[in-house]
Amino acid sequence: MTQRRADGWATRFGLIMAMAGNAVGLGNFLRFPGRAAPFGGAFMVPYFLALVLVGIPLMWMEWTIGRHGGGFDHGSAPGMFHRLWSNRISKYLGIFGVLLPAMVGIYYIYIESWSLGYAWQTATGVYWGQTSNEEMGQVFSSYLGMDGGFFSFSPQAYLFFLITFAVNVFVFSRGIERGIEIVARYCMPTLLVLGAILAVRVLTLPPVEGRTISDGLAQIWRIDDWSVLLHSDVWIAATGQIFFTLSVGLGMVHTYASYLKKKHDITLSGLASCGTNEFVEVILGSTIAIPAAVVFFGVTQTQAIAAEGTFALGFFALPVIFQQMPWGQFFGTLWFILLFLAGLTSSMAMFTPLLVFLEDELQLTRRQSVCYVGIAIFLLMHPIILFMHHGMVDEIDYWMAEFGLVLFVAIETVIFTWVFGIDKGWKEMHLGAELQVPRIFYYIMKYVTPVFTCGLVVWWFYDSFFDQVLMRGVDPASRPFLWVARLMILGVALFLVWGVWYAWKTHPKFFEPIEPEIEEEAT
Amino acid sequence: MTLTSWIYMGTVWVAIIALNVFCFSRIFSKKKKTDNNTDTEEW
Repeated sequence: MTQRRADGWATRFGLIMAMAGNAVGLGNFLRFPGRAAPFGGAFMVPYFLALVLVGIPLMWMEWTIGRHGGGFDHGSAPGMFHRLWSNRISKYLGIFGVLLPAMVGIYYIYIESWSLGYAWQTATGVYWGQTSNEEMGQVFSSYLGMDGGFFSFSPQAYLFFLITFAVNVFVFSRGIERGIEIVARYCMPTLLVLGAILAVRVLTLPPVEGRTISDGLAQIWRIDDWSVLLHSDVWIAATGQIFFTLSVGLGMVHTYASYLKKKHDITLSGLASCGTNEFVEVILGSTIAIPAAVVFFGVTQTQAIAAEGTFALGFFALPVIFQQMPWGQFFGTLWFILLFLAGLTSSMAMFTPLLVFLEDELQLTRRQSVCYVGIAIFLLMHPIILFMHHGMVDEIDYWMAEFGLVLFVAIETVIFTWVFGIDKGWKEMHLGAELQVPRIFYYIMKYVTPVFTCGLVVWWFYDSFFDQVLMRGVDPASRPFLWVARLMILGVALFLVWGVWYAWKTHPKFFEPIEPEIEEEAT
Repeated sequence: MTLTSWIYMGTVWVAIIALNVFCFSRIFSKKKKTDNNTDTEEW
């Protein structure tokens, strides 16, 4: 028995909190309002359609694929895909489920560390007195050490990065039961309480120059122009947000679910984790950043801030607002602690597929895999930190969290529904189920989800793939650094290709197939 | 916010909260039953 099989979820609540924590991240509080605001209330229409037609079915599929693969002692996507489709290529397609989360985690931890750094800066009032977006933008650049030099480096940001990195390594080195589950069980309820406190604070803000909180909420919920729905932008933005927020298509759900037994429910637990994520995103996430920004800055400026990107809202605009708010230092500190916890509950999941791949398929011990992964990601993070101003994060984010994610989703959907077969998949999904999924989802999973995700891949190729490959519009000075980012991705991918090839040549379980836990075990 | 917007927002919020109440009430009621049994596993 491998070490992974000795580990596992101690409680169902812990599993659901960890799955929800995996989904709840910086995107719920920063990316979601930033994506929704430009389209007004119309955004929520494709958002909920995508949730029901793609997001929830995908989430159930990934839980099922994970538990099914776990029954064969596979904790990562290559082995899981191999058991769904006994074709020599399937295990190589599963590499995406290890590569994507690991590469996203490499820059995500650095961004997460900014939240911790800003929590400290807010608590100590370091930037107090910088009361415009422009000034806070300078504070942000200064914090990251982006002052026009060759490197983007500041000792303070680096210190908080080291702390965040150490916390993450400590958590995932302790495994599922003693690490990830414990953190999720305490951090998720704390995050919900902090989010609720901040939401109530924003909802009770007094009017500023005639602008009320009602005007702020209107930015998310009022539909002025239904014709927005005729444009593809809003549909792509909403679907992308659903993938991102549920953390589907990244391989992490598979690994978490691989620790479940056939008798364990996945339909109700999966829906509960999805519901928790939607509570945090739609109710808390939509109530804090954009409404507060509208009250203090007005609609036009808020839209301009949202258009500047996710970080402008969270790290420029909100610190300005907190300075003008009674008890602003206190609420500002809570805001950045909230972001840090949201980031932590996601980032601690991102390296788990890689660790489990090393343990399950390459037969390393937990200590060895933590050691190798820790050293490798620490080294890979440094080019990103030092050359951040050349857009390395955006480059990796595009290939991994946007294009790669959509591609992986399409691959897994097709394999699960059309190759493995939706009939077998549906039966597998309902083993031990405490919730009978309505039959309509059978047809949604069989036809709508795969067609939709394959269509999205085609659209992605058409829309931005070639521009991105050819680096159109990129500053020539930054191009070598973007090539470094691509080589980093390629290097990790090649290692995984070798790992899969080696594992299938050497691991005894591929010569003496292990029977999955028998279905009679399911209750 | 118009009246329609408030209704729109309220409906969505109620739906999400109802989904959470439905899921967690079923999960915790199952756990309670399990705890009352001799087999006191946490699932």
